[in-house]
Parts: sequence; C-alpha cells; structure tokens
Amino acid sequence: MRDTYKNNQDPDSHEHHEEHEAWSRRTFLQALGIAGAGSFALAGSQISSAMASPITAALAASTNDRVLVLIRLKGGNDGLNTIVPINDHALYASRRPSIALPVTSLYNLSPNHGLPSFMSSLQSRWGNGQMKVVHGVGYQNQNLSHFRSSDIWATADAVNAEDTGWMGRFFENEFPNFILAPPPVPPAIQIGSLGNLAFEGNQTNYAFSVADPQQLYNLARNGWQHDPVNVPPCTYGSQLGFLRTTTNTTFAYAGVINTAYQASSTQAAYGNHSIADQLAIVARLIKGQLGTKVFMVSLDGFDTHANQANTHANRMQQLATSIDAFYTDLAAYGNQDEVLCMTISEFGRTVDENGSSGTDHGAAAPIMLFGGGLNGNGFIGTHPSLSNLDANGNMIHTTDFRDVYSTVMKDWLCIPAATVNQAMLNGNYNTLNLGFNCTTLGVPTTAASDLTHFVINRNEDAILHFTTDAGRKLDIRIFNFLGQEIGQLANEYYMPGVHDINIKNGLKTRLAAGSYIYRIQTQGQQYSSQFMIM
Amino acid sequence: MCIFTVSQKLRVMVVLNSCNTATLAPYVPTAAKPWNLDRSRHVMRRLGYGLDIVQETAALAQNPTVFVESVIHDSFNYMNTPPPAWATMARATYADFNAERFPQILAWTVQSYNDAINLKLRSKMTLFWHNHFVTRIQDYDAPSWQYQYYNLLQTHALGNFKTLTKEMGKNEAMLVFLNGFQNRRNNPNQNYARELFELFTLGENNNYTQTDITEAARALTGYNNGTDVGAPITFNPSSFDNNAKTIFGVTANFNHDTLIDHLFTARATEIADFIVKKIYKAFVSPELPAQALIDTLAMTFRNANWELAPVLRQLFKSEHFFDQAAIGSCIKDPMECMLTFIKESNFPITDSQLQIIHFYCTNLGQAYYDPVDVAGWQGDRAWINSSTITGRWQGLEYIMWVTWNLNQELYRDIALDSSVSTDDVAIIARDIVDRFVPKSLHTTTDYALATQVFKGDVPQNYFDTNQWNLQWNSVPFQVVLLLQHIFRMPEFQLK
Repeated sequence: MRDTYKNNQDPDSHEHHEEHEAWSRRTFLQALGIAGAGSFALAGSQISSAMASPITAALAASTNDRVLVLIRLKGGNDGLNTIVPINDHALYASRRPSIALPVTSLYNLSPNHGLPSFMSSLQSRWGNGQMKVVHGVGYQNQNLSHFRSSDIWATADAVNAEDTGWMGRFFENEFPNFILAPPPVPPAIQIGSLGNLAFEGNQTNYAFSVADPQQLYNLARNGWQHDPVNVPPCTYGSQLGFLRTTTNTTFAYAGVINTAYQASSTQAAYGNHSIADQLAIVARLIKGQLGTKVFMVSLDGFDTHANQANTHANRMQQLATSIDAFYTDLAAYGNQDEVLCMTISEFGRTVDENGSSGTDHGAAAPIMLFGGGLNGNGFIGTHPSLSNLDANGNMIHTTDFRDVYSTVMKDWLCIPAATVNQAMLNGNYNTLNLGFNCTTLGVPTTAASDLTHFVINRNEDAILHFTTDAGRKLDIRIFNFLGQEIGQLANEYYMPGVHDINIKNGLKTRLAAGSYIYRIQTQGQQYSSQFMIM
Repeated sequence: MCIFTVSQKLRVMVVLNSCNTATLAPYVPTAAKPWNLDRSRHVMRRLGYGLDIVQETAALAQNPTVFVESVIHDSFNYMNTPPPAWATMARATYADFNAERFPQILAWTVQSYNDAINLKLRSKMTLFWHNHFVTRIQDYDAPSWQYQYYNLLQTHALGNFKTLTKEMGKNEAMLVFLNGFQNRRNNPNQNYARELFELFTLGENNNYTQTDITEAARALTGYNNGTDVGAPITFNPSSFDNNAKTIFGVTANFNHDTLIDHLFTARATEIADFIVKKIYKAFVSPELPAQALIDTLAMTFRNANWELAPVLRQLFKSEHFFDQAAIGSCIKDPMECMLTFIKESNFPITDSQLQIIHFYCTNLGQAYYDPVDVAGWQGDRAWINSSTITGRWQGLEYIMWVTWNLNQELYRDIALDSSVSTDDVAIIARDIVDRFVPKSLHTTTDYALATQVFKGDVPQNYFDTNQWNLQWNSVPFQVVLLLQHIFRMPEFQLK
C-alpha cells in the first residue's frame, strides 16, 4: 500500500504539498443527501457564535445583501444556438444546416447577435438592462472531457489536478475555524452537481449540498430531512424513527433554512421542472433573509450529441422562463438588484453539426449574467471567429473564465483583491467591466495568510509546522474528531519565523493514533485544521 | 407503534410488545419468507461482521439451518488465538515495564480486532462475554493479564457458561478489577460477590439478599496470593475464610467452586432466564419476545448443563430468528458499523488501520478492554446521539479514504458485485443501497434520491442513451458518492 504521508517530507516540496492535499481533500468528501460539510455540529462547538474574521465583517458591511447564483449547465452548452450570430449568420448556418436557427426567428440583442425564440422570456430582461453576455469564454488548451473540464472550471486550474475549488478556497480563507465553529448559516448552498469541486476546500466542502431540489424543499418546509413519524411498525420501525430523529438533529442548518423558507413566499409563476424548482427555492431562501451568499443550481441535458434542436430548445426555454420568474419573484420583495445569476458550463460545442443533427464537445461559449445589479445590458469581449478555429475545429476563447470569476468576486462580492488572487491561485486575472463595483469601506488588507500552518506526519509523530510573519501570542489547543477539547499544546509568544511543535510530546495526555483537530487562536482570530496521528 | 425506552439506571429493560410471534421451530424457507440475500446477510451481521457478496451468495446454495450450523461449527472449532511473546510476563521481567506495556496492550487490541473480522460467532461471543464479565484494563494495565482474560473468554465463548463463571472468578484481571484480590478472611470485600449475583448470573435484586452477598464474599476469599503485576494470583488457604456460610438458605463451608456449584443449582431458573434474555437482546432484538419463547431457550440451557452451543443453535436456526420482524431491529455497535462495512465492501485492512479504527470506536464509546463501567456497554440506542452518529460517518470516511488511496477499482468492484446490471443506473444504485441496509427502504423515493447521487457528475444524456456503464472511468468516484450517501442513511446503523 502506498502510504501517502510517511517519512520525512520537505514541507515546501511539491510532493509534500500533493500529499497534504490528497489527505485533506478526502478528510471530508463532499457530503451528500442533505448533509453538507460543516452542516453538522461537532460536540462542544458553538454554532451560534463563530468569531468573525475581519473579512467576514467587511463582507457583511460592504455588500450586505448581494448574492451570487451560479447556474451550471451540465454537459456543455451550445453557445452558438444560445447567442446566435447575425452578422455571421450565413457562415453559421452553412456549418450546421439542420440545427441552425433562422435569422428571422431571432430577437435582436444587438445588430450582430440574437436571442432564440425559445428564450423569449429573457427579451424583457435584456430590454430592462438586467442581462449581459460575455463572449467566447474558455481557457487555453481546452480539455474535451466532461469531468476534467468541469474540474478545471471548478478549481480554476487548467494545468494541475487541483483538489480545491475557487469558491472553496475563498470560504476556507474566510472561515479558518470552520470545523470547530462553522458560521450560523451555510456559506453556500448547492443543488445537484454532486462531486463538483467548486466549493471544495482542503478541510471540508463549504457548500450545504443536496442531490435535488425536492430534498432541499423538504428540509426547508419541514425543518427535517428524514420523516421521523412515517415509519413502519414493530421494532425496526421504532428503531428507524429513533435514528431518523437523531440524524435530523445533526443537520445544524436545518433550523435556519426552515426559518428563512417560512419567512417568505413564492411570488411568481414558475414552471414545473427542475430548474424552476431550484430557482424558486433559492428565491425563497434569499427573500427569507437566510444570509447565504452563494448558491449553485444545476440544469442537465446540454450534452446534445444527437438531435439537438428540440432538447436544447427545451432546456433553454426552461432556463429562460425560470430566470424570468426568479427575478419577478425577487422584485416582489425588492432585491432583484442584489442578486446576480451567472451561467457556467464545462465547454461549448463544435461549430459544425455532426452526422446526428447534434454537436460534439467544443470550447469557447458565452457566459450569461442576469440581475438589476448589472446596470444595463450589453456584451463583454469579442465573439470568437467562426472560421479561425483551434486544432479540434472549435472556437478559440477570447475571455478566460477566470477573468469572469475574479471580477465577480472582487466587484460583486467585494472580496479584497489579495484574497481573490489567493482563491484564484495567484493567476492575476483581468478585471472585466461587467457593470457593477463595490464601494470601498476600508476593508483591511491583512488576509489570514500571514499565519500559515499545517501538520507534517513523520513516522508516528505529528509535527505542527507554522510560520508567522509577525510576532504573536498563540493559544494552540487539540481536539478530538468530535470537537471535544483534549488539551492545550501551547500558550505563548512566538517570534516571527518558522516553528515546529511535536504534538504528541507537547500534550500532557498520551495521544493514540487517530484523527484530531488543532485550533490556533491569536489576536481575536481562530484557525483550525484536521490532522492524523499515525 | 412500540415505544422503546432504556434506563441505564434501572438496568431493567422495559418489556414491550414484540411483533415477532414466530416460534423456535427450525426455519423452513417459503415464498413469503424466502432464504435470500437479505437473510444470509442478516445471519452474518448477527453471527459475525458480515461477509463479502461471493460468500453471501454461496450461503444461499445451502439450506439455511445447515448454513447456520456451519457457522456455529466453524466458530466453535477455531483454534484459540496464539499467545503473544509476553503472555505470562510479570512486571519484574520487563526491562522497562511502563514503556513496553502500552504498545503491547495496543497490539493485542489490534489482534482482537483481527479476530473479530475472522472468527465470526466466536469473536462476537468473546466480545459479548467481555461485556458481561466486564473488566477495565485501566485498572489492571498488564499485557499478560489482558491476554489471559481474553483467552479465557475466547476459550469458553461458545462453551460452558458455568465453567466460564467458575474460571472468571479466579482470573487475574477480574480479581484485580472487582477486588477479589483484596477479599480476605479478616477483611472481606463484597464487590465481586455483589456483581457475581447482580450482573453476572441473576440480575439486579433477582432472588438474592444482602446477606447472601456478604456470605458469598466470605466464600470467595483466599485468592490473595499475588507476587507482581502481571504474575499469577493464586489461592492462599490462610487468607480464606474457612468457616460455614449460609447462602440461599443452605449452610456449608462454601469455597469459590462450591459456591458456584450451589448458585447454579439453587438459582438455575433465574440464571437461565437472565442469560438467555441477555443473549436474545444482543443477538436478536432489543425487544423481548413472549416469555414462553425465553422459557424454552432457558430450559434448553439448563438441560444442556449450561452449554451455550445448544441454545445458540436453537435460537439462530429458528423461524423466530429469521422472521422479518427480527431483521434490522438492532443498532450496530461502533465496531460493527466499521468492520462490517469493511468486510461487506471487500476492502483490505492493515493492522495500523485497525489501530485507527479502534481509536474511532473508542471515541464513539466502545473501547475494547475498557467498557465504561462494570455494567458494560448498554448498547443499542445508548450508542447513538448526534455526536456519535457524525463520528461514525467520520470513521467510515477514514476507511473510504484509505481504500481510495490504495485502489480505486475496489469501488467499481462493489458495484459489479452488487448488481447483475452493468448499465442501468437506477437498478445498480438500488442494488448497492440494498446491499448495505437490512431491508428495503421504507420511503421508496429514497431510491430515486440514491440514484441521483450515484449519477454524480455524469451528464444525464449518457444514461438516456445507455452509453454509461460500469466500465466508465467515472464509476469509482460515483460509487464513493453513493456509499457516502448510504452510510449517512439512518437505516445504515441498523443490522
């Protein structure tokens, strides 16, 4: 067996980093069903009073009610039949004769691009300045695998097999003590797209995830996931009822989700299908003042390899009507300008149709943005050429998807630039003009990163290795995997620099091999992380 | 609907209405009560820590009572676990007792976990008796005594209960734990005498008096000859109370052995009833059946002169044991939660991983060799609170992670083994779910949810066009997602 963390390791080596990542990623696989990571409270931890980091406070102060909804179009959305070329229509139609949309059927968003008739519900959104399109979004060296490319879009790393997501890294930075003291509301809520890495951090996954909207609906409406009453007779049923009841209590967020849901109502007419259900419940949670700032919803069915016309039209119509209903719903409450929707998809599709009246995996495609916060309609970037294609015959991207991510994080969610850059793996991406910005409120630029910390496993020893840029007093404690305090490892002043503490030697209690958590407390901030003793 | 309550303080189970009215007649499969995978799994989840699918399916080729007999037979005939090098070492023979004993104790605990995985009913009964004749290693802390205590339990686990009781009173770990070692003629210590009646043979306040305890304590004196920690404790006639004692209305100069003989004669009915009920609750259901069924088993026990195997045979081959009402009625203990998952998933496991699983089980309330007190682990619902449930998930995630790092194909194998379908995602999801839960999910929409989870990040169209199948690269992680979903189901904690 390949032990991933024995023997001495240079903590700065890539190998160590990889091992560290490999362990941490699987410490908490993304939880499913109703259990999102962090959604259960460890023994002894206080859900209600997490010590707020300066970033959290600033976030709350400056953006207050802004929300981001990621709409994941699963399968690879055909951008050319979503935002249709009018200027290049002849070329477009010649490349895909059986599925090209007639120019007469289009609604002109501009002289050059049109909206298909099946997306007519969005015409008024465009007209009212609540919709924008970013042309040709993708990345260099397009990968044509659903899984790899989805991972790339989720992790914002197109080169390495990164295990954490762009949003996961941001939340990990924002909640350094998440395991022991998660925030009172879930940082993110994700419906569908199970296994997606967008909210995955090193420690845990930061989204409260459900497989489908019905699950979230049940939880929101009832305040529980498992029906504690409707059980079969006899001992099995009695035991099941007991276990369901206890399991229900583990979901720390059931209460706040239920409260938010009950505090609002649906004030628009949604269709009767998945994306409508998802957006309806998201609207209710937003209007109910839940406080979660990021949502992800999913719509499957975009991998249109055959007989694309009806499937794609059907899906896009569902999407369009749902988005329209969503903003009508929000407008009834008054916060339609504070919610930004953004479509993402792992790739676009081929310019040419294939032999089955469909399209195959492609590259660049548009991102659509919705919401009054856009302050107008319009296009960002340049539409890719339909003739100058890459080696696979696909459109070459003109905007890197990470530029869009960075811009949304900085100018919509008002996350400090340094934190955004860290979340984006120091890629130094461009800021686009999407129409919104943040009023600066003197957000402190000291990110949590002036203290780095992790555990190195050396044979049977666990070494807490940390670096502090400034001298500071650290209170370091050890907890078991249930969140119960075992002992204090240190409570003293550390000079700037690198420090190592042998955890087993430092604690007065003998530590058996197993799973533990350390928490570093300093200057009003707390940082925690899981580790193993082998 | 039955309402189940347990009061740890009372130590008397509330007897409730069991739906299980089936008899002790040997189980004969019928269309309504078929010999199927649910039932072969039921057997091995109770009489062991589960089987892999190949073995579960092979069991179906046999008549069910023949299968049960083979399990009991095999379990009965396993050799005792070979003694470690330190099996009889006393403290003085160590170079550094303090430094050496804890790794040895831990190593033997890991060995006990290995035995649990391999020795089926033998290991289950060893643990059952450990939880009955409780000792706590933190009170005796000697590797040789730990081994000898375990060896005693293992020797008689499926053997003779009276013999076990007799030997247990002289066992060093027990003599230390319940102060038999300090019980001497001029300075009697009633601790063991009390627990002998209250916990080990009769049950609380079940036809014995305080005087019986005091007099029994006198009969148990004399085992005070101990030379060192870890060394044998032997009988010393000069510290034995060599006078007449009156116990259960009979006066004689009882010693340890004749006391046990007298106890088992004078209180045969109570002992048989008490032990049978305990076995029933541990292996069949926390809710007791009609008293008549207990009485029949108790009579078998007495007629067999306290041999356990006939009782276990009668019980585990019965219509009652195989009844639908018995399946899924017990809550797994932490060891079962993890070890059965490992065995049923056919995952390899190393000693160092078992050591960490022992760490998890300890934190979840089940520290082998160290039950919480002399009354033992109360079990069943006492294992469960919101903290221990989430702790179980974390332990299972640890197992999943080490296995994922070892060989991702093991996850695909679970899917291939569990289902005859190779490309119907809903059927495969259902089959994997059903593989791990005791009976079909009560809320049928839960299967649709499991299917959604199992689809993972594979776009829907690949299922619609039947392109997806179990050979896809995405499958191992799909199985991971589904397994994680399954072990978070409340049903998963039931066996």
